[in-house]
Amino acid sequence: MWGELWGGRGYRSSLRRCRRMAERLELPRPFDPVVLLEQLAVRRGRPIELLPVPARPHAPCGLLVSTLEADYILYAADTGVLHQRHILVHEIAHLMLDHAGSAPLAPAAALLPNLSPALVQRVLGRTSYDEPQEREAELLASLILSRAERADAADQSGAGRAPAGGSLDALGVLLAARRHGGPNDDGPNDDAPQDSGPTDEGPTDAGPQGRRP
Amino acid sequence: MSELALYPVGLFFVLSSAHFSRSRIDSRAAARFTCYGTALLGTALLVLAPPTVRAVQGTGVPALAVLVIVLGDGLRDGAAAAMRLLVPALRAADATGNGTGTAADAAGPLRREVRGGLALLAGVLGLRVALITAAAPGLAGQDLSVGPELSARLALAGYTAVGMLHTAVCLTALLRELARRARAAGPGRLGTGLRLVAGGLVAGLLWNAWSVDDVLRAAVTGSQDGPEDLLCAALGGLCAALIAAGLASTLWPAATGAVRGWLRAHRRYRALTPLWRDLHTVLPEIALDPARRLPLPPRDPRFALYRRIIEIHDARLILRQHLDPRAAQWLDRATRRFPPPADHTAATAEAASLAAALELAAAGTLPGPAAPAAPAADALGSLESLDTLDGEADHLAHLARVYATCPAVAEVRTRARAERARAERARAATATR
Repeated sequence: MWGELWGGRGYRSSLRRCRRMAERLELPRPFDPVVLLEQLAVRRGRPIELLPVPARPHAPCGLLVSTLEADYILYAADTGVLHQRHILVHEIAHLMLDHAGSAPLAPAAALLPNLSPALVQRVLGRTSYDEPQEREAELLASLILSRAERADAADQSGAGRAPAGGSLDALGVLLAARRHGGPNDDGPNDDAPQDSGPTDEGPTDAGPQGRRP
Repeated sequence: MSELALYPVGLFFVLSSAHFSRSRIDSRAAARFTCYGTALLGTALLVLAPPTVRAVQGTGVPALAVLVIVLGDGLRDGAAAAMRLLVPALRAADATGNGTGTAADAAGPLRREVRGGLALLAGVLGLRVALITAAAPGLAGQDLSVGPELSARLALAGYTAVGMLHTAVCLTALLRELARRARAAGPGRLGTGLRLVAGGLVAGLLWNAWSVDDVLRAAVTGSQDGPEDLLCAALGGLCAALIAAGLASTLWPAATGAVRGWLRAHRRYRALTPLWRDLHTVLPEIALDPARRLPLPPRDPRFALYRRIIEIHDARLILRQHLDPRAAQWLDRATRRFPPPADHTAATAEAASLAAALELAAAGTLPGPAAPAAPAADALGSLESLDTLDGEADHLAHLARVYATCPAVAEVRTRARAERARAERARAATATR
């Protein structure tokens, strides 16, 4: 998949980094970007404020604005749920990748009129992928959400309850039969480890501000 | 050629053992004994294959060839013992899994069973070595043969009979356990898998029973087959095929599910292509992967589908500024000529808005100031929002179909194109003046 992506050698380490991060990230089940955001805020020891805004012409549909005290994520709230979620995770990806700001302050200033420009440390805007940082954040967001989508789909269909040791463990058939005796038993073993680390945190209220994308 | 048939069967068991060694099932003992059993059986078959024995015979040391046959028989005894020990390992795992005992509780009886099984194996191997030493056979062609003395003939027959009985006892124990499990599993997929494995063991018992012929020949004539023969290869192949089919039963749903999922994602990905291509032609900045040039199917269509959906949404957001308010009037006229089906009305409105906005975006113009106010600020996002990938994909696939095939949308597109051409001509004329 990634051999085709961008092709250039300069991106390989970035690709590897994103894949590693997406694979190792502990995802909320079912996936909720707000829970992910809260976990990240706790880990970084800084509040992250979520601000849904209407999309504007010639303005990024997602913005990350960092000040001395907090990070602000602005995302277009008047688009599809999947798209909103993607924009939000794109900005989360900037935080995870610790990107330095490169976008102009003007769009953020227009959306956050009370914010003093002197306090702003960085601004990143989701516009196009000409900027390597934007490309990297977009890639990481896509990888995270693809993985989350797969995990959620598997949970919903019951396929996530794999036979012992994983769905490709043929020996599971011998053990499963005794434990799950009965007709039409399609789930050989229900004590399989989940695809990714489970979380005890159920869905929580939306972030400090705004609606849940 | 038929003499080579044992090699694939032997290799199958050896490779299976590699698979079982990586098994992550709860019962390490069950995984270990299955691994040992298949590895020993596979190696035994490779050692006892006629070409192997003939190759050793070719070294000119007859005793070495006999030693190889004895070694192969010993490996097979080891395989049978490991399969027999799989029974207590499975029961111990059940006791732990059902909550009727802890792992420590189950480990005691299992350890005793393992010690008993190993003691039995040691006894069998010792007795067989003693009998074969007493018989002192040589190789006549590929047959093991002894002198005419009754004691030598009985020793050779005893050597084979002891191995055969031990294997029969071990396989029967495992067969009974599998039959019990198959009954408990009932008629479902799991039960079918277990019945196939049990069928493989029955084939193994028949394969083992074929040694009766050797016992009788040894007792009467003082000779018997050294390496495995063609019938053994056939029964071994049947045994391997049934066991493989049975154990693979857990792989079927995962494998067929993966193939179905791949096909579904690929179909949806292709359904979005006409719409995405038009959007990408005018707005190339939406693509994360601009290097993709070959019209090959994506290796991970689910990821590609996800990207395509996001890129279409990005394009819809960008196109909002190019929404032409006159598009609603054009559509009104077009739908009077080509009324869409009732369930296509919303998609037709959105597709027409997209088509008109794309024409303006392609010309790099925004709706003129003289145009009346837009009927809806987010006409391109007015349809129901969906939060799953499949739901979004189906929704956008429907939109893409309407966008590409609806005659009313085509008429709006033609009208927008004409307006765009007129605007460009007017702009050129102004520039010339």
